[in-house]
Formats: sequence, C-alpha cells, structure tokens
Amino acid sequence: MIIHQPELLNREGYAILHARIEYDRQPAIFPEYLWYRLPEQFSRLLSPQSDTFLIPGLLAGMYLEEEIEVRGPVSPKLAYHLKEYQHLLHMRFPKLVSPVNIHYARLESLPYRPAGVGTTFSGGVDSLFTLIKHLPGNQAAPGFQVTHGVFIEGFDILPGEDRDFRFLQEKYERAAAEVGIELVPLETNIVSLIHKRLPLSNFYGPVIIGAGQSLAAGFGKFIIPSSWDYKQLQKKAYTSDPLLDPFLSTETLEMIHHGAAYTRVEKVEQIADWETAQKVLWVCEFHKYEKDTWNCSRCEKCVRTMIPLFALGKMEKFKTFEKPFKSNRDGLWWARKYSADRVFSKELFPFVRKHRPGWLPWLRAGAALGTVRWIAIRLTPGFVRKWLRRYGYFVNSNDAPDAYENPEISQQIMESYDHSPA
Amino acid sequence: MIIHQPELLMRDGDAIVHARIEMKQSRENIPDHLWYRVPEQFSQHLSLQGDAFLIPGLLAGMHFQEDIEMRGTVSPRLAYNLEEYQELLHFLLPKPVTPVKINYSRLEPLPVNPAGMGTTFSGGVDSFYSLWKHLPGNQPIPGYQITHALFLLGFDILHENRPRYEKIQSRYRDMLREVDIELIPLETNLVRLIVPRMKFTHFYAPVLIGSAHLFGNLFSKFIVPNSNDHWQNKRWTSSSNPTSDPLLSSDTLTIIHHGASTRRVEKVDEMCDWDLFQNNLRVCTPEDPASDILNCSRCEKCVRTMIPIYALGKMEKFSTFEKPFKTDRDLLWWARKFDHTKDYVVEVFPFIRRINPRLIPWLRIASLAGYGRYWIVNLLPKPLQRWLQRYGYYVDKLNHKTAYEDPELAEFLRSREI
Repeated sequence: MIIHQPELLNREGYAILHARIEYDRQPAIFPEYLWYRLPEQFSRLLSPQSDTFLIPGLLAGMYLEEEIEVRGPVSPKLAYHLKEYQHLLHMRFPKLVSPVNIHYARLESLPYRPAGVGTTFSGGVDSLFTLIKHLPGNQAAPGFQVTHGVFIEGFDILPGEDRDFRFLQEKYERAAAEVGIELVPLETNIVSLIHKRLPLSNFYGPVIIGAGQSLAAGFGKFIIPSSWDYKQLQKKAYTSDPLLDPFLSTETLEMIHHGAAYTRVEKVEQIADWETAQKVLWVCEFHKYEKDTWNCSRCEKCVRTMIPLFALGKMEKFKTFEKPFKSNRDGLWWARKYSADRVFSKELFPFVRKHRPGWLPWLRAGAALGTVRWIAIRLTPGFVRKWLRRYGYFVNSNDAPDAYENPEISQQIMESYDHSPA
Repeated sequence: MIIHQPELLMRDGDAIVHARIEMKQSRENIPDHLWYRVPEQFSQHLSLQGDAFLIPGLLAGMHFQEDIEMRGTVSPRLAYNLEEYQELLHFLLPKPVTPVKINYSRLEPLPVNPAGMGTTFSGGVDSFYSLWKHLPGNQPIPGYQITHALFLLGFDILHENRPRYEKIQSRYRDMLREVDIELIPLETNLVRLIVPRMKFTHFYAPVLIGSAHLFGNLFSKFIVPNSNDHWQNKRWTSSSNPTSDPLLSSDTLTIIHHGASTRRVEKVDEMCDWDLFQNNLRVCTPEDPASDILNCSRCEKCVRTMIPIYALGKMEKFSTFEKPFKTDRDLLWWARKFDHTKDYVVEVFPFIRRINPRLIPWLRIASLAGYGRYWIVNLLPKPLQRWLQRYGYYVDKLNHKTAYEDPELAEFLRSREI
C-alpha cells in the first residue's frame, strides 16, 4: 500500500488536502483518495505532513495486512511510536488488525511548533466537558486553553447530511465565538477506509486524530475528549484512550486524551449550569435539524443524558431537547430504547439516588420494562428484521457502502490529477 | 506540605541538589530534605526546576492527603498533566493515594533545548532490553538513540551497600563505554518518601522519573524500561505503566515507557547472543550485600531468568550466575522460590514449549512443588512468622528507618539549615 505525498487543492472557496492511496491488491470500495476539506480562510492550518494520512491509513494497512510505503514526510516521533501502537491494536483486536512494516521516504517534523490548541467539537457531553475544562476560567496554564474547536462532517454526521451539518455549524460558530474560540468546519472521507470493515465504534480513534493532524500547521496541542472513563476502559477495548492517543503525537503536535477520570454523569453535572452547553448540547442518534430542539428525546443517548439533567433539576434550562422530562413518570421513557448492554446505565442509578432519590422507583420500572423489550428485540429472528426494514425498523442510515464519501469532492481531486502535468 | 526551592551544593567532589520538605503535620520517618548527589563533573547537566522534587513529593502529599505548595519553578506541561496523573494513580491504587491540590508559585518551562536521551540502567533484563533497542544498530531514528544511563544508589541497592554499588558501577561504566553511552552514578534518598508506608513495587516510578528531571539540562527524552508488560498491566497495578509515565513529561523532557509490548522471555530470547548482556546481566539482590556475586542463582528472579536462557541453550555463555543450570533436573530449583503471583509463570510455559519442549515435565513438577511451598510459607501463622524473624526469615531489611538514607548527608543538610 502506498500513501502518496499530500497535495493541496483550492476549489470554490475551499482548501482540500488530499493524498492518493495505492493498494497492492485493489480491494472493493476502498477510496482512491483520502481528503480533508475546509473553508479557504482556514487553509493556513493545513499541514503538509503525511502524518494525517498515515494514521488512519495504517488501519487499512493493518486490516489488509499490506506493508505501507509513505511517500511524504512523517514525524520521527510518530514513526518511533507506531510500532508499539500497532502492537496494542493487534493485542486488542487480534482478528481484525495485524502489525505491518512501514517504509518511510522521509522522517522529518514540521520545522516550527504552532501555538494553537484544538479539540473536536461535536456538541456532545464529552466534548463540551473538555471544552469547559480548557477555557481560561478553568484552565490556568495559557498553553492549554482551547483556541479552536473542530467540527467534523463525515464522522457522526455523514457527507450526505450536509444540510444538517450546516445547520449545526451555524449554531456552534455562534457558541464558539461566545467562549472566545474559533470553530473550524472540517469535512473528510477518512471513515471510508474502515467503513464496512472495522467497527467505527471501536476504531474511531485514528479517524479523530488523523483529522487533528491535518491541522498540525496551526495546532501545538490537540485534545481528544474521552468517550469512556477509566473503569469502562478496563473492561472493553477501543482505539481511543489515554494510552493510545498520545502515541499519535508528533514533535510539534501533542495529542492529549482528556476526561477519562470522570464518568459521564459527572461530566453532565459539570456542564449543567453552563449556558453554552444549555444552548448547543447535541447527543441524539436520530437527529432532525428543522428547529432548535434537535435532540429527539427518545433515543437511548437522549434519555441517558436527560436522566442526570432531570435529576439535577436543570432539565428546563436545556433548550435542545424536543420532549424534555417534566415529571418523574417520564422516566419510564427509558424503557423505550433501553440497552441492557450499554455500560452507562450502571452509573445512572447511584447518581439519581444521590440527587433525586424519589425518582428511583420510576427509573427502575423503566429499566425493567426496557430489559424485557431489549431481550425481545435481540431475539427477533433475522428474516423478521429484514421484513421490518421496509417499515423503517432496523435500518442504519450509514449502511450504504459509500456513506462516508462525497463523490463531488473526489471528482474534483481526480480532475486536478488529470489536469496536472505528467 | 511545602516543597521548597531546590538548591545546588558542591561538597567533597560531588554536586548535591536538595530541597527542603515541610509537612503540615509531623510525620514519622519523613526526610527533612530530599536530595540527589552526582559526581561534580556532571553538575552542568543539573536543573534546579522543582519538577524533580514535585514528582516524588506528590506521592507523599497524596498519601497524607496534604495539599502541596510548590516554591520552585514547575513546567506548565507537567502541572497540566499532574491533575490526570493523580486521578489515574487514585483510580489504580485508591487506598494509598488520593488527589490533592497543588499550588504553584511559578509555572515556566526550563529555558533550554537539550539533546540527550537517558535511561535508567540497573543491569536487569528490562533495562538491558531498552538499552539494546535504542542502540544505533537497532534504532535508526537518531533522536531516539540513548546517550546516557543513570545508575542509582538508594533504589535497588541501599546506601549501606555502597562498596557493592561502586564495584557494579565501575563494571557498568566500562561496559557502556563500549556502546558509546556514558554512565552517570546517581544517589538519592527519594525512596524514603515511599517506604515503608507504601508498596515500593507499586510506587517506584516517580523516583526514576524524578531522577530524570534532575538532568533537565541534558535530557530531551528519558526511557523508563517497563517492569510489567501490556498483558500483565491488565491484571497488575503499578504507578509505572505506559499511560502514567508519559504524564510526567515536562515541556523540555519527554518520558517514554518502553518495552511493554515484549514479554520478559522474549526479551531474553532477543538479546541472548549479545556479549554485553551475557557478561553483565544482574537480576538479583543477594542476601549478602558484601558479596561480589551478581546473581545468586537461587532467588525467584534468578531462576525465572535462567529458565529461558537454559532453554535457549545459552546458559554457559552467561558468566554472571553463581550456579547456572547444568542439567534439566536443575530446573526443579524453581520450586524453591516459586511465586505464581509474579505473573511470569504464564509466559514461561508457552515459551519453553516452543523453544525446548523437553523441559516441560521438569517445569511442571517444579511449579507443582512450588505452589505447595508457596502456600505453606504464606499461610504460616503470624506469631510463627515473627518467631522465625530471629533466624533471619520474614525480615524486610528495607523497612529500616535509614534503609534509603545516607545519615551523614541528611545530618549535614539539617545542620546547614539551622
């Protein structure tokens, strides 16, 4: 597998950083170009290093068991750590990925260390918590105060949902400006590399860090909000945690995994009084962006988030839920999308016991009913599921093989190759 | 707890960097001063940042739940990471340590741009392996080749065993010269903060990393050789692991925890033809500290190391074992000090099955007998254990008040203060 030298292309007010990928044996539906696109005004942040393509590209190499040749410059520090990184990934997912050799054409770091501090900004609990912890009021060290939030299209919002992305982007830009940071909207097709092959819920780490590395010309630090706390990380394997993420640092860009010391309910508690969080929180799996209440309030994630907010008595302050809890009885909604295998349920009961003990019987009833529902769904035979799809059940919006690709941008890149001198 | 501004002192050809420690409440056997001592010729490498004292001092603060006031300058990056570091330590070891507040008087990085790469070197399998992997022949990236190694007195060799320390030091100095690495002998009393109140095997990392920060003018990177590998880290808890150690990096010094991807037997396998390893391996703390022996060949660690060497057919090439295995039957020695809790048993059997399956029956017998012995020894009633202490059994020499202190230097620093 060859990862070619990254190139920059300016088209229609956007800067596109891209690299061609050549496979030893061309697999089906693998992207030929990996790309990141952002508005031209942010092009100064784009890094000419290959690090940004190597990190996610490595997953494909490890999955296909193809040695990797990197034609562009790679950070010596990153190269040093990738051996151990691969070892750990293989140890955690031995059936999915295996270590491969990487051949570097040039080991060089960026010749300067930028001062910006970036973080991913999805509007979720984890990213808002990380943001609030790195605002000047809470973070005394100036070099660790976030300067940029990166909002990614092509990760939890698909390229085909561009309208939704723009809708949120506008809200987030305003919120970011209020807290003194700049929002960088970044589009990418990186997830196409692993889509349908490796589960994104496990392998999202290199995608986020690859995106952070694409902005290495502007960032000296990039903070990855933790999705899991230390206790959860002990039990299950992921590709983003306080051990793995720092391995993907370079001499000039330090990767910091933040927030694993806190449970999700503790994070909710910390952001509950923050006006920005009240205005922009977005946790929903079935989002609709026609109005300002973009959290459906029914999916597992919405309910899981509303429970601690209601327990804290802050529900009415969060404006982005379509049907916020209003009475204790609303806790029964939990049954509707309760997932007995989601580890977050466990932390909710002690939290509610502490803050709103009178609500516990309702939540217990919700969880009990939900468990019955959950088992029934798990036991639904495959052919019934298939049949139910015609009615919109068991359908995944990102099931399409090209769900994470934007053909228009790939086309622009291809055309640029066609017109470039041989 | 107050950690005062570090000071440099030249005395009898040595450079001493020390900082006064003030506890809010008086605590038994806590040193008044933390100190490091090196030969004068290395003094230009020493840094007077507070980092080298804050890192080990934090353990005491966390143990006694005393907030810390730092009078010296501390690296902003270290200060940022210490919040997470404390949370992580508390998560791993909730009983002995709890997060505390640290108040900094000055947050500034060291105004230097060092180029050296250091490591601790004890002569054991792990430190040899980290060294081996960072020699130019094995490590093509120039910035990741080791230039200096620290050899500590007051860590696994006590101050009272100085003659033994000096002999080993001179041996290792000559050996490392052959691979263009300079050995720096370093003495310290940092361990006194930890022993006897916390388990040294859990909390040794801040001592090693604190020592690295002392050489802030020299090191840009410092390798901490792993003790537990990634498989053991799933079950075992220690303050030194690939997640926690890098959190103790500063703006100018990156701490790298190295070697956890490789199991101990694999390390022996990889290095067993290296003559420096064969002639200088030291895995043992002999019962008689005055002896010249590097490896007694009887203790658990010696036997655990000799098993893969013997299985690989290289035993006769290793010159530092007092009684090397000569026949398969000798593997029964394993029973004598067998300790399954060390978690190395699980790697020995698959390795031997692959390398030399003929030895498996002997190992099985040894481990069976060893299990029996282990339980007998550990289930002996406490009164009986106490009675046996008069014959030298069940005695922990490290719990002695001055085990990790040089009383003469401690007294000198105290009198100077007065």
